Amino acid sequence: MSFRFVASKVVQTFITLLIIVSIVMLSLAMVPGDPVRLMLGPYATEEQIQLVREQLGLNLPLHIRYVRYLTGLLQGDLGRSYHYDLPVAELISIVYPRTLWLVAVALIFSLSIAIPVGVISAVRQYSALDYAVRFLTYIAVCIPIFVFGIMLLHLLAVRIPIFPVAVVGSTTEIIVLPALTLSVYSAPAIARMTRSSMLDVVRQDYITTARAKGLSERRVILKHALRNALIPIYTYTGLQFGLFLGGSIITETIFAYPGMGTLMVNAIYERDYPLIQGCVLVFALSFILVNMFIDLTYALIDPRIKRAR
Amino acid sequence: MRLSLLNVAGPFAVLIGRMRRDKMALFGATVVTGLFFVAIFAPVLAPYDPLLIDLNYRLAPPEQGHPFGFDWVGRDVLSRVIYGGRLALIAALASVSIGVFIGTPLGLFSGYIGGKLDTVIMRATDSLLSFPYLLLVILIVALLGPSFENAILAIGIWSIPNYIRLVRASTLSIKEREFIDAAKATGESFLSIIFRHVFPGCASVLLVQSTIYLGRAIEMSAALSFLGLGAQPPTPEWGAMVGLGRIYLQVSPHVVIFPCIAIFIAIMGFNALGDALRDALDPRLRGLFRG
Amino acid sequence: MTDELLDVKNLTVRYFTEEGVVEALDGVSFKISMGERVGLVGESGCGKSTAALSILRLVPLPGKITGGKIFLEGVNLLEISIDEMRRRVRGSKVSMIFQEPSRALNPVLTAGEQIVEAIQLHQKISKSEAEERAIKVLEEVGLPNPPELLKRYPFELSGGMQQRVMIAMALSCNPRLLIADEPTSSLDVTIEAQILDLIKSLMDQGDISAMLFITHDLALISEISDKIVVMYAGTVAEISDTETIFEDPKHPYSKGLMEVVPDPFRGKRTFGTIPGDIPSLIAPPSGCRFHKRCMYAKEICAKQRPTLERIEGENYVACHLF
Repeated sequence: MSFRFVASKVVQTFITLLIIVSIVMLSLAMVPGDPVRLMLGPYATEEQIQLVREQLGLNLPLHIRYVRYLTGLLQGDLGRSYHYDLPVAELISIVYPRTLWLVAVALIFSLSIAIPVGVISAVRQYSALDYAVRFLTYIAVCIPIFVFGIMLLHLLAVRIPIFPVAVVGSTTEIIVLPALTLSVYSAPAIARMTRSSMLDVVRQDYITTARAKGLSERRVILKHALRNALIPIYTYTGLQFGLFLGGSIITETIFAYPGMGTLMVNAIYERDYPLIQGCVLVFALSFILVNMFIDLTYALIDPRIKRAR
Repeated sequence: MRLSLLNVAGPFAVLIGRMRRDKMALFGATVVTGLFFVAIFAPVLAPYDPLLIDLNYRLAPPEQGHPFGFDWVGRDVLSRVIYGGRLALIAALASVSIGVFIGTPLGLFSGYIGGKLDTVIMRATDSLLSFPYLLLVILIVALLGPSFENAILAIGIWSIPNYIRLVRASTLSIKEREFIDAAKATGESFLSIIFRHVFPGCASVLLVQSTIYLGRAIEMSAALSFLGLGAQPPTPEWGAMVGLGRIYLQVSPHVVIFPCIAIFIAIMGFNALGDALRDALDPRLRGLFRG
Repeated sequence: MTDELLDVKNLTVRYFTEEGVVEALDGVSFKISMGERVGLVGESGCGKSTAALSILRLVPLPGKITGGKIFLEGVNLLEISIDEMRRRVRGSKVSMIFQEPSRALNPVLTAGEQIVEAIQLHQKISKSEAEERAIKVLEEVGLPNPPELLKRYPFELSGGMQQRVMIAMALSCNPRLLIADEPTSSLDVTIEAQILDLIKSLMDQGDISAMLFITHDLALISEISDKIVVMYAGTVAEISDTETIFEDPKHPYSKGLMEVVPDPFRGKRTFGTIPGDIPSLIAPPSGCRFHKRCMYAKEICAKQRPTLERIEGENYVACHLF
C-alpha cells in the first residue's frame, strides 16, 4: 500500500471535513431569526441581547467569525456552550466515549447475530429457516428504531424487570438495552447482505472445485466461501456505520443514555448553537474517519487489491 | 416512447392480477388505500376531537367507545391515531413531492447534459447521500427550529439527492437508446426531448421508489417528532405521541402501543406496495434499489 | 481383459426448477477402463458436465441424481455416504478440472494454499512435506519457479498457468481417474495447444492413468482420446473408438457431427449443419430424442427409445437403424 495512496486519502478526508465544517458554520449563521434572541427567550432586554452577542462575537462579520472558528478548531477549541457555560470540547469529551462504546457493542452484537444468520440462511436456502429469516428481516426493516426501542424497553425493563429503566446501575447494565436496540436496527440489513453475498459466492466455480477436492462442507463454507463473501460485507458494514451514528441518537434518547446523541438533542431544544455545531462536527468526523479507515484497510482483506497496489 | 394510456394501464392490470396471488401486494395496497381513506375522512371517522382534554380520564385504559384508551390528559387515543394518519400522509406526500419536483429536473439535466454540470451535481449529491440520513435530517431541523413544517422540509431536502441519483441513472440508460437519436434527428428541441421522451422512461422507477420513500418519510417524520424535533404538542402526530407518552409506558402502555402499531403498519404497507409495483413494472429492478 | 475402473449404468439426473423438471440425463451409460482415455462429446447443454459432476456427486441444486448406478472399482458410488465420497473418492481416486481456471480457483487463497490443502486432505503428512510435494507436482506440469508460485494468488497468473495449477492440484494425490471438463475452452488457441501437450505427456508418463475428457471440440477429442462417447440431449448416442467415430460414424447424429466440421484436406470447405434445434429437456421428445432432426427417422423412432446396443467389439450405438 503506497504512501501516495494513504496520503491522498488523508487529504481527501481533510477537505471533506473542511467542507462540512464550513457548511455547518455558515448554515448556523443563516438560521432564520436571531439566535441570541431565540436563546435568551422573549423576556430578554435589548442590552442583554447586545451583551451576549458581543460575548459570542456574533456582531463580527461572517468571514471573521469563520476564520476564528477554524483557528479555534485547530487548537481544539470548539466554542463554549451557552446553556451549560462550559467549553464544548469538554462536554463532548465526556459523552463521546460513551457513545463510542454504545456503537462498538452494538456493532459486535449485530455482526455476531447477522453474519451467522445470513450464512446459515444462504447455505440452507429454501429451507424453513431461510424463509423465516427472510420474513423476519423484511419485517424488521419496517420497524422504526424508536418503535423497537420502546418495545424492548417495555418488555425487558418494565414487564420483566431485567434491566434498569432509568439511568442507574453500572455502565454494563445501562449499555445492554440500547446496544441491543441499535444492533437490531442494523442486523437485518447486514444479515440480508451476508445472505446474498454468500449465495453469490456459493454458486461460484471455485466452490465446486473445493468440494471436488473432497473438503468437508464445513471447510468449504468457512474457509472458501465465507472469506470471499466477507469482502463486500466489510464495506457494507462500513457504510452501515452511518446508520449506527444516526440510530444512536434516537436510541440514546429512548433509554436516556448519557451519550453524545442525548447531548445534541438537548442542545437543539435549547438552541445552543455552539454545542450543536460541535456535536455535528464530531459526528461527521467520526463518520468520515471510519469511512477512510474502511477504504484503507479494504486492501488488507482483499488480496486482489493488495497486490495490485 | 410517449406515456400513453397503454403504458400506464398495462402494468396496473398486471398489478391487480398479481395482487390476487401475492398477499403482500394485497396487504400493501390495502394499507395505503386505507391510509388515504382515513386521512381524507378523518373528521368523519374520528369519534372524538383529538385535542379534547378531559382530565377525569387521564391515562384511562381502553373501554367501551374508546377502543384505544385515553392519553395522559384524557384525550381519545383512537381519534388521535386517526388524525395522526392524516398528518403522516401529509408529511410523506409533501416531503416526497419536494424531492420529486426538485430532484427530478436536476437528475434529468444532470444525466442528459453531462459534462461539468453533471460532475458538480454528482459530487454534491454523493456527499449528501453518504451522510447518515438521520443526522442530516436532525441537523436541518436543528437549524430551522423544531416544527412539523420544518421536519417536512428536512425530509424533503434529504430526498432530493436520492431522486437526483435515481433519475440520473434512468436518464443515462435512456439517453443511449435509439429513439432519442431519432428525436434529435427530427430536430426536436432539447426541453421537448427531455420531457416527452426521457422523462416517461423514468416514470416507472420514479413511481416505485416514491412509494418506498413515502414509507421512509413516515418513518423519519415519526422519528423527528419522537425526538421532539417535529410536530409539537398538542399535534396528534404518531411519533410525537410515542415520544411524549413513553414516560407512561410502565403504567399505561396503550398510549404508546397504538401509535407504534400504526407507524409500523403504515411503513410496511408502503414497502409492500413499493415492492409489488416494482415487480409489476419491471421485475429486473428487484434488489437494484435498496430504498 | 481390461480392468474396469468406472462403470456408469443408466444414470438419470433431473433438475427440479421453477419452470419444470428438466430431464438432464436419461439412462446414460458408459465405461472407462484403467489407463483408458475417453472423450465425451456433444453440443452445449447435452449433459456432458452433468454426467461428469454426477460421478463425484457434485450435481448442483436443484438437480438430483434420480436413478442408475455408478461403479468405481466395483463400488456403487451412489450408495455410499457423502462422507465416504469426500474421504475416499473426491480428490483422491477421482479428480476433476474445470473450464475456466480463473473462476475455478479461489481468488483469496494462494495457489500454494489451495494445492497444499488438497494434498493434506488425503495424505497424512506435515505442511512442509506437503509443500515439497506441491512444488514437485508444479514442476511436473511445467511451471517455472514453483516455490515462488506457491505464494502467488490466482489473479497474478495467466490463464495457461492457472490451468496448470489446477491440473497440478488435481494430480497431487495420484487419482485413478481424471475428469477434465472443457479444460481448454476458455484459453487462447496457442495456450490450448500447450495444455493439451502437457496432458498428453502426463498421460504418456503415466501420471494420468484414466481420463474422461469432455469437450464440444471434435478436433481436440481426436487427438486425445482412445474412445469417444457421443451424447445428445441427455442420452448417449454412440460409443466407439476414435477412429471409427471419425471414419465410420454409425448414429445419425454422429454422422451429422462429422459432417459439420470442415475438412479442407478432403475437399470439404464449408460447415455443414444439422437441421432443427436442440430439444427442450423439460418436455423432451418421445422415443429417440434425436428423431425430429434425423433424416433416417422411422415410425418406431418417435415411439420407442433405442437402447445402447453393441455393434462390434466395444462399440455401441443407440439407434433403431441398428
